[in-house]
Amino acid sequence: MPHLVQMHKKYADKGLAVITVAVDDPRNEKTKASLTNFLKRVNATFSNFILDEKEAVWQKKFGIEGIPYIFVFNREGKYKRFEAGDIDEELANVEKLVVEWLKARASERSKGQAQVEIKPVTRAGLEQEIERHKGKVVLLNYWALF
Amino acid sequence: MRHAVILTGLTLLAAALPAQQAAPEEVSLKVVNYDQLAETVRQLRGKVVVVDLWEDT
Repeated sequence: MPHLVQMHKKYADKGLAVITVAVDDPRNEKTKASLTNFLKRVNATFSNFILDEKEAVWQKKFGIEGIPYIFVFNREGKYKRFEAGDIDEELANVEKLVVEWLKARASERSKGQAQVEIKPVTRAGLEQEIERHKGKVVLLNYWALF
Repeated sequence: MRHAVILTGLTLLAAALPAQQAAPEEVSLKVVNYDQLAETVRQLRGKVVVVDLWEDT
């Protein structure tokens, strides 16, 4: 974790976000306090979550059988995962990939390419997206190509 | 097939908190389910995102 904190400090302004996800029991207050104390001790000032899912569920969703694991997503949402068996070695590989993917964006910017995404959404998903902007004035434009 | 499931799940992961979400100033720990985590990651598209799965116990 301290390595991730350093990595975040080093690259946050270049476009890196770090998220930690603890898979401990979120109903165990003692564990939550222990996690929080640790995160404060290492000054983990990024998004820290504790996952409210049964072990079998998150293992299936992530496609892994245990932890620690690190997923690195590029700017387009593609990812590579690292099984942190040898944590020091894997973190070095993670940082190497992070640097590579951060640079990829820099070269795209130099070409003046805009990042545009279109995705299917249900009504519920749309409502959730709007909810996310509560407090702002939101302009919702329904349109079509005809 | 397994990779497809993972990809689907993690593509969903690439769909969550505000895209240009600022890092919290203070250290905090929030309880989320998988879908909320997925939404958080998705909303960060445009950034390089490191997701660290760990446990205290």
